[in-house]
Amino acid sequence: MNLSRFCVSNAASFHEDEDYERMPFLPQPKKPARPKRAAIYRNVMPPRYLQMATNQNWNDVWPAAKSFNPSSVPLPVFMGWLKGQPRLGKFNNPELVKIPNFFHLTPPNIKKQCMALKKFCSPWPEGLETDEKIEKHFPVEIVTRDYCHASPTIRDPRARTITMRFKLSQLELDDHSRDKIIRLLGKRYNPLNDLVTIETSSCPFKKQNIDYAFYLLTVVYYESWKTESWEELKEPQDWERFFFEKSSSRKKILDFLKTVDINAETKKEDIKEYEEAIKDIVDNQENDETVDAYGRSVAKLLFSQVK
Amino acid sequence: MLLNSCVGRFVNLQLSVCSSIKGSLQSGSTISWVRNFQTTSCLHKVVVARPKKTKRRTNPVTYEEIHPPHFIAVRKGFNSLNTSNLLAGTRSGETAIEDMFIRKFIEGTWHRLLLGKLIIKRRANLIILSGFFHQSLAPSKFYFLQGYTEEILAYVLKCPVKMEIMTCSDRKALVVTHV
Repeated sequence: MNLSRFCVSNAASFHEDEDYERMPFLPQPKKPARPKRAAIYRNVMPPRYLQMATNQNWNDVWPAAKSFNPSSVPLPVFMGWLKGQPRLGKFNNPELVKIPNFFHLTPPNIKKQCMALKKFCSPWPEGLETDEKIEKHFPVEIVTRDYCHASPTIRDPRARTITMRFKLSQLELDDHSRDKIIRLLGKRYNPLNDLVTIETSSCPFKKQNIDYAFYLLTVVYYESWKTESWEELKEPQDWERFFFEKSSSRKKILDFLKTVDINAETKKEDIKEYEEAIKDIVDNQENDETVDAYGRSVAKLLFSQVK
Repeated sequence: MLLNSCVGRFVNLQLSVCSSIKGSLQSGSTISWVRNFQTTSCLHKVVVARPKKTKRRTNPVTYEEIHPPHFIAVRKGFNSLNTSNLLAGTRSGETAIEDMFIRKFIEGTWHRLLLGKLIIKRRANLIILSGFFHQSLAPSKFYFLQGYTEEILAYVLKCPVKMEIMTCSDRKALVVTHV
């Protein structure tokens, strides 16, 4: 402070002689401030919706899926919540950009796209009008799955799994092979709707798994038609249902008819009735009704001649 | 801080168990109550992602910043929209890393131009980048940067990349309030 006062008091002597350098310890004169950069104002076009006609074709404005654009949407859209403030409008609102919009899916647009796709469609094949007809002509149903992700790859390891479905009644089977195929299929067979479901995922690709499922079907079918030597050991107690043809009661009734000199051919209908009654009582439930029916069939078979 | 709070908890736990043992010994009964040890990490839901408050309310905040993360899908949407984090979604790790790379790339390439956060949407193999940018560049430079970003990111990420640019003349266009 003292120094500056000293300088001021002696200013005349300093400035008169210009050969003197300015003393380095004196305060530097203030530099003029750097000029502020002028703000650049560009001519930005006004929002497009201000110039839109009310009868315009919206498909031309929004032909395909894209993010929300406030200047092309002639609607007062609001989104967001702020405490004690009005809702945010469509301009400068990132929330509207985040959400998917359906401005490209107006009913006229959908109709237009359907009309464009129509030429690639073929009529429904004749003779396949009902589900029963489809089931008859295409007995095997193969279910494949494709997975769509938002990722650069379309590969998904789960897509290899396939499911094959068909009705067991579609296969040509007799009593023995039907019983055996059900035992071989295990939990793959649903007795409630007679549906066999084979799911394969062992192979890396879908096509290979389909082939493998058909291979499994072939193997299990031919295996069920085979009769192994140990299957002959099956006794009447192991029968899953009553077989009259193989049963001892048929043998006994025929022997009895032979001893009393009655031709079995004449008693054919009575034997059939007896067979039904005994099957009913063994396979189903033993109650008064079935027992009565059994008694009546036996009486008719044995004592109708006597009457 | 997290560690300290955990240690503090543990000490409290020990003290409480000791006092209960002591009390039970004095009363002559057996210990019938055992406190469980909880190892779940703290979420700090009360303080996380809050903008710094100033005395005179001079800190400008956007709509995105004013709502904490637990309001995602309630008051605000996700900034990255993809199927990776859905149930049985694939490559969630790769998607997260790619998103961070894209955000860093945009921050550097569009320096001081991006206002708010970048929105990354994935539809099939297409990546759509949306954001609000300041109008301090000539439109021709905007077009160049857009093409450059799309080309480079498509080459790096091996999938088509599309930018949907929105511009603002005001640098504080997205500011909704001050805290």
